[in-house]
Amino acid sequence: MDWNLILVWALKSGLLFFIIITACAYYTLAERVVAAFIQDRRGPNRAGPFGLFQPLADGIKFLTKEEVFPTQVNKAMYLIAPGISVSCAIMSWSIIPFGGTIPLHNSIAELVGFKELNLQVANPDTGILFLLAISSLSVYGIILAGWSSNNKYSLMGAIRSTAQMISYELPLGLSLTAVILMAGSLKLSEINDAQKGIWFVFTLPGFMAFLIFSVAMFAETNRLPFDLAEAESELVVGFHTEYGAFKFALFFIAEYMNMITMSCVVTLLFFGGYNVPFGILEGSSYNALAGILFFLLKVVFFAFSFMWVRWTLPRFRYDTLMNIGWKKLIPWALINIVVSAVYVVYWKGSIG
Amino acid sequence: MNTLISGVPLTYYLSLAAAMFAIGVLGVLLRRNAVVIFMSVELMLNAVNLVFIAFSKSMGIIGGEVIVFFVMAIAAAEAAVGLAILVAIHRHKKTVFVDEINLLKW
Amino acid sequence: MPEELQPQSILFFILSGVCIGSSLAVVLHKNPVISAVSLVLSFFSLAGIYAVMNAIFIATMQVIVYTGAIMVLVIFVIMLLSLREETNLEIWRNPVKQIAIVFVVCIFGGILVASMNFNPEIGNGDPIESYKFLIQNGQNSGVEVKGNTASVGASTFLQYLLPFELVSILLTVAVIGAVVIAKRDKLNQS
Repeated sequence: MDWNLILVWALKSGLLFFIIITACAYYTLAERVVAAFIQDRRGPNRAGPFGLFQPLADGIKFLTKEEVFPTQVNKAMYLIAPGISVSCAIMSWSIIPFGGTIPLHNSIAELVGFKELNLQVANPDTGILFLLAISSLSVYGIILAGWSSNNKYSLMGAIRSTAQMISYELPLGLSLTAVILMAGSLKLSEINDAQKGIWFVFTLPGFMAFLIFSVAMFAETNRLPFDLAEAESELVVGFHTEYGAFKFALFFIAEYMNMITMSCVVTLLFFGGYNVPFGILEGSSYNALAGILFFLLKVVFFAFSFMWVRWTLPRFRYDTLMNIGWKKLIPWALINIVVSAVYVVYWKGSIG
Repeated sequence: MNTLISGVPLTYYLSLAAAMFAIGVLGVLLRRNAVVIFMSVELMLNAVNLVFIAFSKSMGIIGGEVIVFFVMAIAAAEAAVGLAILVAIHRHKKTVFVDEINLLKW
Repeated sequence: MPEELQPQSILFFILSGVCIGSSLAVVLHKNPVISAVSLVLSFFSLAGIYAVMNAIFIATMQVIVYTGAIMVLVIFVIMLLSLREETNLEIWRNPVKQIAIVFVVCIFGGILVASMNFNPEIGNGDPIESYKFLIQNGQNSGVEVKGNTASVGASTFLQYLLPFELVSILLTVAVIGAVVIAKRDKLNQS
């Protein structure tokens, strides 16, 4: 643990932060273009060629709008809540591996002291549990926003949304257990390496886990078909009713960043992550770069599927939503754990 | 037995745990809101967790971390039952302040 | 800078300051929601301290179980019961409370002095994260795992299996008990 490593971590984090914010901004543009395509109209195309400066225009609008504080809100909680949402959305990017290791050129290796650049900011021993922990924390942003707004519709929306999110954390975690059993480790880089032979989605327990995980993933990010708590015709807008301008922009960014994070997690856990298919470039120094390319393609596909599902399916009513979470997904996830254990023992040999 | 865990002496961890425990005891003694008393009890449990893990890392025995895992599970169970009792009391007496729940006082 | 001070030691001091500050806010603030949020901050900084100590599994469990589940339950209860602020928090005038504070500070001072005088023999300093479990019916095969999570998991399921099963029964009993206690009476008025 020396200061060299800390400097490299700081540089990686800073670079990743800027890349993520830009990706999130263009994701909002992509959402509007895809929505327009599904609804048979044109999306934003005025702000630049093909509307490419639209996120910049949105950003300027959010920054320059007047900040309105409702009377009699608890100022501290009102301002902290969007901060918690955005912080948790950004924190979960620190463990996602974008590729393997890039071997450094000799001159750079002498300068920094190590020979390979790991494309992951941190690789703790409990990789995937860290993501579950961060999604547990993001509940606080919602509940503090709803409570501190001094508005009964916000509070109702916040309580419904919180109950939905904590209910769907259980199928999320339980479906991950099947994947962890098959991979033999919690670290995301090792889960990815365990998929060099066959992607986990093509195995029976992995497929069931993928179905459960994708349903829980929509509920965790408060997206349609599970967005009763923030739907516009329901409870005004739910917990972010009283938030305008930049604070609303923070909630907005947090939601889209959560969607991209979940897409990355789905590709890492079920669809082979950054493995180059058929092991073509094994051992070559371009392996990591090709891996990044395939990873990004898969993430873009899942991000597109979020938008596709949103503009296709109708919304669930609240009691059917809780019914699915507790009475259908959790028993299937538990059965899946047993199936996964049987699969690991009898089909793959012993773990580890 | 190591006296340095990640570069910090073991006694610093023990002092932090003692401070948290003392603050928790103060919370139980001074406050009247039953939920805040419950939260102070959780503070005390966390202080004990910190001591367990500090000694586990210092002596190299993994049993301390396993005990902490069980303490967390038990604290979760205690939270569920304790808050259920508070909700039931609030339904009848419309208060959770412990000095107003005095029907059995002579 | 002393020679054993590593960069993560600075993190320990910052996090312990946050921890003590937010614990004091839990105990002394009159609004129960602010108390609950301060307790969340205290638990989160404590999870950070566990991570500095290399107990990464317990740090993650602290965030998932304590901040992510127990404190959400506490905040729900506070909000749904609409608890009012505590108005008579007169610590500095009530003599019984003053005696209580002095007593607790004395106990804390005693624990502090005892822990400062605790000088065990220094052993060999490498924190090896591995766990070995020997099966005791004569065969030589055992289980050896490396890494913090693997060690805690192997230890739980091999050596401490009975407490694990008992805790699972206890959690089931607690869930059933909580539902039964907090349910509304259908016969009487609610």
